[in-house]
Amino acid sequence: MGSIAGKQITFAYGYDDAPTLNGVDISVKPGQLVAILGRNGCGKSTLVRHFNALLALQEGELSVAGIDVRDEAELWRLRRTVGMVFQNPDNQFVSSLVGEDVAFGLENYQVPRSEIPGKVSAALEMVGLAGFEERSPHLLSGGQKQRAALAGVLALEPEILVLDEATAMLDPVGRREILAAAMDLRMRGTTVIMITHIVEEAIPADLVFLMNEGKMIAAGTPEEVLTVPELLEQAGLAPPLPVRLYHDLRTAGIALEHCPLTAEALAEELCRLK
Amino acid sequence: MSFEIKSLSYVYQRGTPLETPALENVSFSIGDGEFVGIMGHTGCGKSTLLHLMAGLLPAPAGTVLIDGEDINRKGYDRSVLRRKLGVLFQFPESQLFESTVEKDVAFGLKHSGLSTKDIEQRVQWAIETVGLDYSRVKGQSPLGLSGGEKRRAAIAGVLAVQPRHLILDEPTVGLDPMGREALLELLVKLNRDGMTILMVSHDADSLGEAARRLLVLHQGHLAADGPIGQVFADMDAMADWGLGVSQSREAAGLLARKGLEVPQDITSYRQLLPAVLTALKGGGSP
Repeated sequence: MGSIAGKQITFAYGYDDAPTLNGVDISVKPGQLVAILGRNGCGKSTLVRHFNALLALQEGELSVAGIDVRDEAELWRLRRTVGMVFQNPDNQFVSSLVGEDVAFGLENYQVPRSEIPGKVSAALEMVGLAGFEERSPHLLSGGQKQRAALAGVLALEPEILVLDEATAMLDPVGRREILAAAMDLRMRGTTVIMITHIVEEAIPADLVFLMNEGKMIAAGTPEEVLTVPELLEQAGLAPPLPVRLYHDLRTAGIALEHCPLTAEALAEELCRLK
Repeated sequence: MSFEIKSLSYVYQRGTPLETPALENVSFSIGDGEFVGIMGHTGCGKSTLLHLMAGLLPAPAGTVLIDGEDINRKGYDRSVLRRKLGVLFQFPESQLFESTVEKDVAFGLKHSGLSTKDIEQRVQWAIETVGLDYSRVKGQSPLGLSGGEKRRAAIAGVLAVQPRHLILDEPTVGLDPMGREALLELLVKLNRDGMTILMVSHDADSLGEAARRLLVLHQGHLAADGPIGQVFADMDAMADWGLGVSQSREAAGLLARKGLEVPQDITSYRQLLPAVLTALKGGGSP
């Protein structure tokens, strides 16, 4: 199943380069929605590129869905187990029709031809693009493009889905679409790893990892990680607005009972005070 | 007036079966030194408007005046426009191409008639203005910079020409919080020093912090134009146009619904915190 267990992962891009990852530990249980947070260049993308052996493990240990990523005999199975969607939707299309594009991965894995159309339409339906087979990818909106790219990955029924800043180039509507699709997948039991520097996107996660300069500086529930401004600032991020307000009110002598993560919870807390 | 847009319309592929109106009868003006945001759902005509305002598309119907001059008038010297109007497109870092940051930033000054010495000073000023360390980056390849630094280097290239007006298309997309913060500070500073800034963005938080006035485009029409607090105040209308408001504005709305007396024209955290403190201290008592 879709677990991840990594110990002391260390990686450098060049011989003389400072390590991009420096002794990173990560542990994810099957079916969890996980957010990996950190600023640009903190190593979060480098880390997840080890999960399906896009980058070869240099030091440390990493087992993904029970597969040792160093085991070359298992590479194809690993790649199929871990699906990835990247930042730029325009860089991920290989075909001029959405349906053909979604089928591309299935064809590569030699899924019988007769099964492909059914799997393609099921995958498109899962991301809310039912009936889009004959559409041209470049005429879709940004959010639709990303969902089409996501369908191509989902068609392979991965146990683990990695979204590598998949929302970064989208407008707010597109961003919501992708996040909704991620939540939906988690409900179906897929392990979902979201990489982001938008702290609000980490709020619905089961587990949050915070990275800075190649190190894992915190791991825990959103309540444990996102309510501590010092931690987030150390990682070059800003706390969610309700957390910021909670701490600023505290400084001003007003103590709320709990530190809220969402605006709704903030409103509740403030009302209790009134 | 920096910009006067009068009855501007634009139709793509006019006279063909694929005819698509992009802008219909849009009029507004922007004074010197204003900081104006433009929001609109994907496909609302924002990009077309930017291209028309920057003189990159000719205006077949309506006029675009910049500093009082019709930029589509026959005989208008476009090189003047290029010097006084800086335009920063989406992902400007993809346009960095020279072998060093210094050369890239200097590119726009090549035919400016400035002496080598003056160009060097101007480049140093631009690089320092965007908050990069001149001595560190000048000889470096722009491709070796981090994402946020690349964007700043691209902005430096535009600033080096010392434009009076700056148009930016989604300048905060893809930047991490620190990069975003630094960019906004820079824009606010440039604006304070007199530059007119027009920023197209979906990033309601950034606009809420930096812009004073907001234009909303919806299906090719100017749907709203006013102080940003006033435009954000009508969250239902914003939602109808497919747009979000800033998190601070959203929070103010939720708090008001729970009975806290928080003004509804809040757009930034800077305004939210004191408003909440006042509401709590007032506590409903007379």
